[in-house]
Amino acid sequence: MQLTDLEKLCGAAGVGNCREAAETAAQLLRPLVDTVDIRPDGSVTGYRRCGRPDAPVLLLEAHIDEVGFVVTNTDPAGFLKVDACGHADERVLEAQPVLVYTEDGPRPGVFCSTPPHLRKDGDPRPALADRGIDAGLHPGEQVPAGTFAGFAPHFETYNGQVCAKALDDRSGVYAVLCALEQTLGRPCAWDIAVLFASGEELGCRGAAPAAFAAAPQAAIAVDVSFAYVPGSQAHACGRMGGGVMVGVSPCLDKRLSDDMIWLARQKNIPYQCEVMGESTGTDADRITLTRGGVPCALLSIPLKYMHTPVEKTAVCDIQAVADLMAAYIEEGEMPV
Amino acid sequence: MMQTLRELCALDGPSGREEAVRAYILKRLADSKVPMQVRVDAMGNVLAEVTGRRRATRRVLFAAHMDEVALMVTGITEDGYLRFTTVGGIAPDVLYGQRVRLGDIPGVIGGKAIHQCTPAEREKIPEELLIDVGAADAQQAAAWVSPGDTAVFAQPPASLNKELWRARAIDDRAGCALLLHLLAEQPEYDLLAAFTVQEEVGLRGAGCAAYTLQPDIAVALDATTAADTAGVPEDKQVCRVGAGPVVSFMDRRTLYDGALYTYIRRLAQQNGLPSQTKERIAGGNDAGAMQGAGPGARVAAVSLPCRYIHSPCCAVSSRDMADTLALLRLMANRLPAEKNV
Repeated sequence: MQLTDLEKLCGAAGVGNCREAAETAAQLLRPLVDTVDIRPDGSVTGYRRCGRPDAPVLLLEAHIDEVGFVVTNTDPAGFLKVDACGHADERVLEAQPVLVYTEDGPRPGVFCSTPPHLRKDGDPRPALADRGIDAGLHPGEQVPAGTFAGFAPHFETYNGQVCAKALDDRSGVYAVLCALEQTLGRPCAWDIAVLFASGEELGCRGAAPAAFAAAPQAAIAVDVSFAYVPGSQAHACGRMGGGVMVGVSPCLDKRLSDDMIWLARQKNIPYQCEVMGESTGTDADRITLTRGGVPCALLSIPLKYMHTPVEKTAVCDIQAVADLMAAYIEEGEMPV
Repeated sequence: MMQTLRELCALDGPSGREEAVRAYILKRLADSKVPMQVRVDAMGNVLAEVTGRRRATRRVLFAAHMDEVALMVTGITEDGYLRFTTVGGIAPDVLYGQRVRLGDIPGVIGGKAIHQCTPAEREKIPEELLIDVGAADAQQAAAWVSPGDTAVFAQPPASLNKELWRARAIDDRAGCALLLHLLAEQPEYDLLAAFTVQEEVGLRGAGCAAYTLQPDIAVALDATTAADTAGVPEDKQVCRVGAGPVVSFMDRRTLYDGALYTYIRRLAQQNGLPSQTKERIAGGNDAGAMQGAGPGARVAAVSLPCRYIHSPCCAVSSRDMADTLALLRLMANRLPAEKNV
């Protein structure tokens, strides 16, 4: 895996029913596992056999979808009216460039904005329903309702950091791919099931049915979490560049969390603890409740500016997640 | 002409930092076969005196500004984030969640994740916005960036349809492109041209340019606020993209010469060119400074209708560009010897 693969993943469309991100991930996954499928709901699944009969199944999961918008109608002047598809930070929408994923391919657009010359300080922010996307449609032209739109792709690296849309959770997908690559051909006591789940941003919808099908004995979910930025509380955030955030929560398996921390120390993998007093708000919450219950760990990548077009992560943190997952694949034991 | 506009919009030119745009314009003028005298004044304005095929009976100046709205670094926080001020009018909510560039250094402007905001915080952007250039701490940031450095929007341009094109800095590289193409062929009469500095921080360059060039008539070429966008009722749209050049009768800085205004509108009409006016007294341009410079000048403004002005995604129409150039050419070939206005 190279950063250009992360660029491909982030650049692909994963809003709503858009399948480009899933297809991109499936393509990158194929050389690393025995079988790959895309489920009807858009989740990507893969399976790698270790060769041992009755080997326990370890599920590695990250979500493939991203926040965005869905066209509800086109106004008579040709502006697209949209509703939310996931919870994008709507404070960023003024003059924000977007792509509208039409049947004929992606079409550039921009969220309408009133210039400063024509407004007063304190004018209220328009509701999403009162906004529109200017995609250059002429009056009377339409884009079909149900067409998805997302933040315009871009990808910058600087000083060991990556800035792109949809790093939530393509950086997690990329970390899973890196861990699979690092362990390719290595001895392993697990069969490995891979899941890049759809629908997380709409309420963790895709993980449950796919995890049911995989029937794992243990799972590691990878998502992003909050990195400290000015204005936030340092104690409520991870530190960007501070390593993998190991989740600790009553809803996660304590033995697995402890194993992760122990392994990180053994292998000198930089880590930080993310303590949550309740559920985690990630697919891990659903995976733990699969069938009769699945012990699950959550590894998070500290991320700035979540759900905006300018999400940022540190490459070293993604690597730390991959390293810890790879270590667990090779050395981890069934929690008993 | 759209190629010229693309090239101009790719250049960084915050107010007072117009060097790259000026170098491009000077090169284009030097390569021109049209006889002209070009100089750069103490402000950095590019002044051109163009020799036409015939002598003019009065001095007519066309002016476009080279600068763009931008950000300027004012300091560095302990965490290594950049404090900044806006250079020209940019709404803070346009900055939130956008990418900027300080030379080659990419930066972003954001804040606490929406998930961590209180209900009240979710409704507004943070009081103090900062640029994140990815520095580990203040020391690293200081090695890369100094107070006074400027940042411009980093979003690349895109075509919205066959005619509509979006980019940053169209205000006023569109005027610069129009003026370069107006000067690309020898005009009927002698003509004056100015590519001005510091328009966005108070029309500061154009007054000095007009003082030096002493025009009888000065015409500002600019981009202006088209609000023909989603949900804006017709009476509040100000002007419309695709409806041709915008000829102003009044804005916040200028009460335009009435006879000139009528003449230009009629000139367009008589030659089958679309034109429109600005239906709201808002904004201002270099005409305001040129009107009062030296002994004063009669002024007009011919502007390109532009959506989402002062944002990373200004949008203009290539058809409007062509129609505006056609109108300017008519004006340039007549005004210097016109007896009826």
